[in-house]
Amino acid sequence: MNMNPKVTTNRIKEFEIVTNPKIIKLLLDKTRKDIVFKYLVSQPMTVKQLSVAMRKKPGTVLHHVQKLKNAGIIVLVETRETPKGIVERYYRAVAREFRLGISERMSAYDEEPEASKDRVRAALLGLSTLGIHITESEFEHARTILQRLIDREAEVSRVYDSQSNHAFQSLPPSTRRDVSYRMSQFLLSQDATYRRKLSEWHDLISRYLRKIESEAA
Amino acid sequence: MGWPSNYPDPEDNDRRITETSSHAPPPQTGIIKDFKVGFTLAVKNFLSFSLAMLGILLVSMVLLVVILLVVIVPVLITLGLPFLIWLVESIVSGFSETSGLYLVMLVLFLIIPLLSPFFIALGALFGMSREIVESDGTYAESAFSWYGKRGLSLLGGGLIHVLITLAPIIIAFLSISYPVWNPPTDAELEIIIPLIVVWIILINGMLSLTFPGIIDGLPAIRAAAKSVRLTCQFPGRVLGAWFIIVVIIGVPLLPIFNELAFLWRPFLPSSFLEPYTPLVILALVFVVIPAVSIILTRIYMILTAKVDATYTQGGGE
Repeated sequence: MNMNPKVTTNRIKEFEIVTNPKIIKLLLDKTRKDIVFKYLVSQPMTVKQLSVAMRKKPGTVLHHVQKLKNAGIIVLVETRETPKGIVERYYRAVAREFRLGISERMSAYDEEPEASKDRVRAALLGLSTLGIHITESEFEHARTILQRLIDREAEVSRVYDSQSNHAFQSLPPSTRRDVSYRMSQFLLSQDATYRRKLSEWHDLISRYLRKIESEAA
Repeated sequence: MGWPSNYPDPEDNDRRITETSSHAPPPQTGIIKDFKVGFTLAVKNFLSFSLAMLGILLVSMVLLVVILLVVIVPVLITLGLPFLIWLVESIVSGFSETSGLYLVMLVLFLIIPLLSPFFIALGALFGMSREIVESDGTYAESAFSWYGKRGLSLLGGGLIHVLITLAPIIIAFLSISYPVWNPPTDAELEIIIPLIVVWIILINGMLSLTFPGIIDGLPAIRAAAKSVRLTCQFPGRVLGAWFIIVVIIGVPLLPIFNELAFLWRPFLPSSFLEPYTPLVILALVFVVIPAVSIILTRIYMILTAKVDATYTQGGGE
């Protein structure tokens, strides 16, 4: 069996963060998503091979491939002329893993201020599912404390979780999360402002928990 | 784990050939293969091409009628029927009675819009050819897909071809028509017309890779610039192929247009021309033009790969 070309002249990047909304929209299409994530992240392929693998017309695949190429998601790595005179172009994804900017924004610090505020509010309301019903009079105070905690956590995490830190970003997602958690715990424990706010938060929660215990007793 | 290749490859997979490599095949071999592959694939995809040609010609005619209506109806409403009759009469009455500038304006604003649907149709054929050259197959309906997706760029490419081709001719025409109309004699025309033909052939040869460039995703102007750049880098491959194309298309057409355009003695007796003309036109439309689009697309893909240093000779002749 013959193999596709092993192109090593330009090393494939470990990951690429996609933040351009137009490119994100481009990747949300099922066919294009399959072309990139199912096939071209692992090896270079031609339009013909993709069309056979995906059971789609070569013309359809070619249109999608051109869009992805113009967006810089895939690149042409080799052009090979076959004995029949067909000019095969091998395309490959520019990175092994793509992270969409929207997933990065799941962290509160990347969200718009209004969205972040809503998230804090939702978290406080969500505490009621655990029996902690924050009173209306204390709600604004609790929201301020939690917001400051989240903001501080975000500031600290930026120290190590920068987009330019390619070694860190190339870790598998689960490992990256573990490393991130351990490191943020350490850095936050050294931070006096954070400790003070955390103490206020703990006092608030403790009060409600004691209330629950006394009611239960 | 690797993916199986579509075609058997030679053992030496990594033999990369760039334009500077001593392993590069001589240009003649490349051109001969371009034509061999072009005509083989055009014949192999004859049905798809024929259906697509019929379809896009039909669409082009409909589009042409729409354009005519868009042009004529407002003229009729605003300027009335007498103006339209005067316009037609002034064109028919000849160059001497109309100013040169006016005729140039007519060419630019009347003839070009009428040609527009055919530029897009021709470009759509290049789209099909791209599918054939890159993936060894196409469908008739693909032409419409390219028609819709690259329509405006293809129209732009066609306009660039026409404007660059006509520019010196228009300048020459204006110079002989101003301040007084001073038409060239027949003897002068016998020199001027072949010169114009040489210009048209040369400039269209240099722009011959514009449509493949547009199909490759480039805007019309960048595609035209790339075509000229590739011609300068590989003049033998591009112009060599183009001159052969001109011969293949021009020689069969010469007996039809000879007396009309070149004022030379007839090549064929008029009794032979009657069955000859439709046969030649059918062969050109359904075989030669598709083959030419395949040849130019193939040349474009190979030359751009050589420029990008991604080209590999995958197999022998």
